[in-house]
Formats: sequence, C-alpha cells, structure tokens
Amino acid sequence: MEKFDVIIVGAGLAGLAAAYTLAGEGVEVVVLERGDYPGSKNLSGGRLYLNPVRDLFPGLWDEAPLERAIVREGATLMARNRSFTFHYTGSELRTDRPQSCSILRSKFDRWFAERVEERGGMILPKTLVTDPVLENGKVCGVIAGGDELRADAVIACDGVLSLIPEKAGLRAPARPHDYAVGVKEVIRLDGQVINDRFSVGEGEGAAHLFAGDITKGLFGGGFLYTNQDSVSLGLVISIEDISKEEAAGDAPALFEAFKARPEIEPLIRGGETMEYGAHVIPEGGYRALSRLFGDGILVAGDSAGFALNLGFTVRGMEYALASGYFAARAVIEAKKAGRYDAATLAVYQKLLEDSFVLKDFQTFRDTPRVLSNPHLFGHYPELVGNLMRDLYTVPAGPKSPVFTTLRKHLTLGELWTMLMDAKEVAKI
Amino acid sequence: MSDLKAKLGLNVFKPLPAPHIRIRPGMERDPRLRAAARACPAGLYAEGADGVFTLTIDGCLECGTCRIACGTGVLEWGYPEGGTGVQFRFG
Repeated sequence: MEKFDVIIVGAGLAGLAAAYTLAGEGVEVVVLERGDYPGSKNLSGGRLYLNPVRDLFPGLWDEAPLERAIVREGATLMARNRSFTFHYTGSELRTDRPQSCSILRSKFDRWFAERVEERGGMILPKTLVTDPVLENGKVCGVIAGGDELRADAVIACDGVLSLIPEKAGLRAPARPHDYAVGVKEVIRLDGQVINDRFSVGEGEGAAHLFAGDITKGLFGGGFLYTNQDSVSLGLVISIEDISKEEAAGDAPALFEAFKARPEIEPLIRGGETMEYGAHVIPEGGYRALSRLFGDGILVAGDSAGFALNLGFTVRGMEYALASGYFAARAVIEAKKAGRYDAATLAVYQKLLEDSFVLKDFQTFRDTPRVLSNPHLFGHYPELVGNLMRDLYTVPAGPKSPVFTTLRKHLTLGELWTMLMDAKEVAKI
Repeated sequence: MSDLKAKLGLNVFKPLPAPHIRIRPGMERDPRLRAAARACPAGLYAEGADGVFTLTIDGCLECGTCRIACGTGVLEWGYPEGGTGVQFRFG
C-alpha cells in the first residue's frame, strides 16, 4: 500500500496551489487528477484577479500564460427590446501590475501543473478518486482507480460537487438554491479584431457583464472576456430558477438567445466557436460554505464553496488559489506538530479568517440574498430601458419636458419599491 | 437541438467505458427529472410523449447540474473513469 505525506484530490487552481506550496517546502505531495491532463476538466468564466494572490506565489506570474490584462470594464442592463450600457476604464487598470487578467483554464492549469512538477510535486492524471478512506471518522487516504492510497492528510480540491467532503461527512449534498450553472463558448477571433472591437491595445482586454432579460427574470447574467485570440462568452443561471416550470426556455436555448441579441452578435461576428463547456458555480456565499477541515482532511476551492458574486465582480479563482495556499500552510504546521487531527488542522480556518478569503465571505454574507431580488433581472432593466427610450426619442410632434418623462417612469410607487430595494442593497 | 449537437461536436471527448450517470431503474417518469431536462447545458435529458425521461450520456460536460437539480434519489451519479469523457482544450 502506497503512503504519502499529502494527497491532493484534483488538479484545479486550489489543488495546484496547495501542491506548489507544499512541494516548495519539500513536502511529499501527490495530486490525483481525473482528466487526461491537468486542466482538461477545468473551466472558468475566465477572469483572474491577481492583486489578492500575487504575493502568495512570488515569481509565478511573470511567465504565466495569462491572456489579456483587463483595462476596460463594462456592464449592460438588458431589457426585452433595448439596453443600457456603461464602460469604465482608469489609469489603475493600465499598470504593468494589472488588477486582473483573462485566462483559459486548460492552458493555465496545464502550465501551472508543470511548475508543480519542477518543484518535485507528483501529478497523476487519468486517476479518478471515488472515495475517502475513513477509519474511526478520520480520513486516512483515498480510493483511486480501485486502489487504496494512504496519506497523513488529504486536501479535497475535487471541484464544486464536493463529493469527497460529502462522503467524508463534512457537508450535506448541494441544494439547487445555492448553485448556478454557467455555460460558455470560446469563440476564435483575430487578435487585431478584438483590439478594434473592444477599444483595447496589444495585450489589453475588456470584461463585460450583462444582466436582465437574457435570463428571463431568473437569477444570473452574461459575461464576455477577451482572450488573446478568442472571446469567452457565457451565461450563468440559477439552477433552482431554471429548474422551475415557469422559467422561459431551457439553458441551451437561453444561451443561444443571448448570443443572438443585437448587443452581442456584432461583438462575435465572424468568430468561430471552438469549444462549448459548462461549470457549476457556488452562489450561496458564506452561509453555504462546507466545513473546511476534519480529522485528516482539508477542503479548498470550489469544493469548499469559495466563489463570490458581488454583481460587478464575480470571483472564484483567486479564492481557490488562496485557499489551496493556506491549506498547504496548515498542513506544513501540522507536519511540524506531527499531528493531523481536526484540532491541529483547524489552523487552516484561522489562516483563512486572517486573510482576504474569509474576510470577504463574512463582509459579503448577505450579498447572495440581496442579489437574488428578481427586480434586478426584469423590472429595473425594463425601467432603465424605457426611461432611456423616452429621453432619446424625438417624436414627430412636440417632445415632453424631461421632468414629465422622469415622473412618468419614477412614480411614487416606483420610488417606494426602489427605496425598499436600496435598503437591502445597503447591506452589501 | 441539432445546433447544440453540432456545438458539442466541437469538443474533444474520450470514449466512456460505461455511462457514469443513470436514471435509477423505475424512476424514468419521476417529475424531478424535468429539472434536469431544463437545466442540462448539453440537453441530454429528454421527456417523451409518454412522460418517460431518457438520458443520452454522449456529450456530457460533467458539470454536475443534473445532480444538483434532481438529486441522487433519482440519479445514480458519478464522474467518468479517469482519462475519459470531455477533455477541455481551452476551459
């Protein structure tokens, strides 16, 4: 029977970050990955915020296969027949230490896995972990490809379904309310065409979010990130909402309708779809996090529920990287103590609480509930769209005064609704 | 639907030795499966005129939406064997 210091389940960002950190400290670590190669089962919207994680992995970023530095932000409220868009750019986005970059996970993770191997970490692809090995409630290893592999500690970075923590008794099965499904196409476009269409320079990129009628009033929204020679175009929809009978259309149809919108079609015109993928996203925030540690086991990345949707920023990858890093730090401390029980591994939770990871989740603990307000996905986009229509319209006859137009849309009842919603928004 | 099949055809798949997700025997008419039919990004669940749901595993993106949408009471759900199934080249 094989025995390792540490077994990591899954070569995603959390697992690779943990392995990179452990291997750097000379800890014997093996990463078990079910894909053909690291990255082959991994999919993200495609935007990594570097600021929170840059210093956790010094020297890693200079050569990393990042796509474009995001220098232009955009957001669009989509009404049924109209839309309202704004863009933001600023000098802080145009530095040589960009705040965020677009990435394609299969490329990035494969490269990251090579850096882990350079440090002496072992990566076993084509290896599916089916179960934890439990003895008196303590995790002592895993069953992989039918074989039992033992370790002092297991770090579960097995992805959003979190099957290993579920089987180890750290969490209940996922509830539809706490998850969304993201569908995405990677669409090839010439790099120069991307520069021109999105008003960016060489190596620079744009990120754009969309909300409103594209999800037919359901919780969710669209995104577009520019890569070097492609764009990542996706739509995210609450699993609970799309599952309901009254929802309009199924997920693939909603995505096709989104692509065909007059706001989207010109952006991808002439492009060639190269891949169609999907990924489930944790949306429950702090309340829906898994237990983070147990006897012999730590949980990191999507598996722990580390993704946070704040409306204007949608983040997951840096929480995965950082939680993997802190899981490794916790294991290093446990190794020094020679104990891997829950009480010792609890330092992981402490490290996360002292870092941006759990600080963010605590700060924004009410955000998932506030953002689930259906007004945000139907009523307000229509209201803003109609207001804009009337402000811009020049009729055949005389035009109403601006104040009359405003009063027509912003009635007392409307203002009351907005005030009530604003009180909720104040909590985020 | 044929558009969706064509899109799935762009992906790299390594043949599955056996289906990794199954509707539990006798549960083919369970209304919970309607959630998977609506939510599955690959459109792999279909409801026949007789109310019987079928699952075609080819093209599965292994996202797990159906497991969350319907639960394991109605689906036997596992990841495919290592090295098989969808292999994202871009991700």
